[in-house]
Amino acid sequence: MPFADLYMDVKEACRRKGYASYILQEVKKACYLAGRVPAACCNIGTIASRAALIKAGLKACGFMLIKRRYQKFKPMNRKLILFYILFSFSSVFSQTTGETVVAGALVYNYKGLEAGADGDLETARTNFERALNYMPYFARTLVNVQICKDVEARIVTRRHAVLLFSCMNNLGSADAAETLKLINVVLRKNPTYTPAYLLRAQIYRKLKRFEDAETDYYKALKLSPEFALTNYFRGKLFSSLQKYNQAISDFTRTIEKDATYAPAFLERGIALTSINKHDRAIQDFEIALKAWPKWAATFKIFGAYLNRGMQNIEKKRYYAALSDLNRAIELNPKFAESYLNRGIAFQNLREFDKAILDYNYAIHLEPEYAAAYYNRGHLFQTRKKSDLSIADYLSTVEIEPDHKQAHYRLGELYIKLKQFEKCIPHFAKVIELNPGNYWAYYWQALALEKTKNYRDAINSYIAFLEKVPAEHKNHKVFAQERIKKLTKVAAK
Amino acid sequence: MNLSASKSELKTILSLRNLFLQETNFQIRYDACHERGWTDSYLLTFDGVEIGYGSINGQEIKNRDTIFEFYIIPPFRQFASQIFPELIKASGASLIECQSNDFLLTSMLYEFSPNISADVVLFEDHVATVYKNPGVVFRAARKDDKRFDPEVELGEYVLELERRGCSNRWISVAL
Repeated sequence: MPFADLYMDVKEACRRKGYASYILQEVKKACYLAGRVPAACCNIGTIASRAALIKAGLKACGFMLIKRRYQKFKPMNRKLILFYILFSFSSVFSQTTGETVVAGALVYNYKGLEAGADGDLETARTNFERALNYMPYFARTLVNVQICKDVEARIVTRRHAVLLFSCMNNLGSADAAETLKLINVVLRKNPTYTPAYLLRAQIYRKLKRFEDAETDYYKALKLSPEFALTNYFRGKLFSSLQKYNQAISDFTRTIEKDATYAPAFLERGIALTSINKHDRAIQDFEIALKAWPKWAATFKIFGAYLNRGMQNIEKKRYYAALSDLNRAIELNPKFAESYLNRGIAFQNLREFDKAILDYNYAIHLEPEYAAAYYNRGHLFQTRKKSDLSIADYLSTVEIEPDHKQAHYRLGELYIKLKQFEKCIPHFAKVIELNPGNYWAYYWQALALEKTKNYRDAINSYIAFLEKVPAEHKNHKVFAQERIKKLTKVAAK
Repeated sequence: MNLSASKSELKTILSLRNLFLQETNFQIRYDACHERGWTDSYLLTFDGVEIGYGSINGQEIKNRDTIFEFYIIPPFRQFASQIFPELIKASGASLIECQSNDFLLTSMLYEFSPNISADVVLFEDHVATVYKNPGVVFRAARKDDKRFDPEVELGEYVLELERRGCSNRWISVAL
């Protein structure tokens, strides 16, 4: 049976209006008329496409599976990685946990907006409530529900509520400037209506007019000082602008107004982490977790423990590090870096068996985790298990061919085992990667001498002498003597 | 028992591939890769008898680092785990990519690669829908249709809407 692979694209300004599913429905019919069976695929993260395909009567029948490549681990960039992940989540996703929750809440929120824009406020409210079933703290949806309630209470007219939902529905797709005009119409008629200011601030944020957004939040606060979400939204604006102290102050006000609004604790924790106040951040995260335990698996929370654990390792406070890393593992038992760091802490506390178990588990989780192999190899080396150590270092350089330390350690081990031929390429690689490493020249020269490559050995000794600092007198004298002796041998 | 994998021409494996397509009977996402010349084909033999094939493509078009098709005729399927390493060795592939609904290659993926991820969802048709959308016209694309995005290939069908504020056309492709 010939299959037809469907592809569809909708002009950005016309999205979220049901055209995608409509065109898919029609293309499906065309496929069958042509004697072909429609099929499709889409990236796992493109929620809109998935929703359109399902709405058009297709169903998921499988996945493309592939071996996952582990991202190269760079210990020097740990904080950078953490901050990047924290901020990349500090949009709408920061309020939720697993993908299904995000997708569910977003899909129903969009459905509600679509219905609201079409004037069906009852369906809109049902969908918003469904979104809140997925994620009860979804701030945008809470505002949308508030608008529906305000219509019932005759605080705002039905027509203006529909216009507001149209604006929100268009926010991600249509021209933001046009949407701004539309909302200004609503605000001219309802100059004291707080949710309209919150929405206009969102539009200003999209247009990168951050000062105007701030002004709108200020107006909203003046109008409804008791409305906790205004401070929350403004805090998120400040966070995105990296004004962390102001953000923290706003999240604190949100908490003062509504201590049950857990995302404010979460966001304050993130802002505190950004200014390296991990202790206070962790206090906030713990409160947030009690309210919404599903946040546990998100990087922002267990990452805070991991980060503090790593800091404690750097400061040689290994027991404190263990406590943090245990909590990080408890929150997310599938993150290899937590096990690696706990292994390092155990190793430093001379609990070698536990360290090996942690390194093993890190490798089990991430079979291409070079740092885990390297650390396990180092542990084996200190326990004088050369064969195991060499195997781990070889795995390290296989995964990460430019791992200088692993090449150096391999060279060292081969020298100790008198396998001089084997150590030469590893020292050569160290020199290639770090020409300033004079010990690599020294050991390379020694290995070359033992394998009777006298001229190369002389050159390596010369390079060693050029680079070695004056304090290593004995080695310098030794190298000079070897050069003299080898020059004579080479001349013969 | 001599199991081996050897590089061969696409035409050599075509009869076996037809059996594979007949047995799977679902959309094969990389079906077109073969005819576009983006694959290497390997014939799998048992004591010199042809029992299946493997196909290799690349994460980049020019590369050949990924096993993406693997088929053994049913009487010899019990040897799949023994012959698959031969295919890995002969091809030098370091990755396996498969559709989760292709059970044979998926079982090889589970057996030979502990570190698996999924980033694409596959869809098949399920039910007919009857959405109405007045004001839009679904029709075959014409040569004079404008693309709203120059990077998007013009498809066989378009959805057209004539309305103020949204006057352009949307393009759909059915391959």
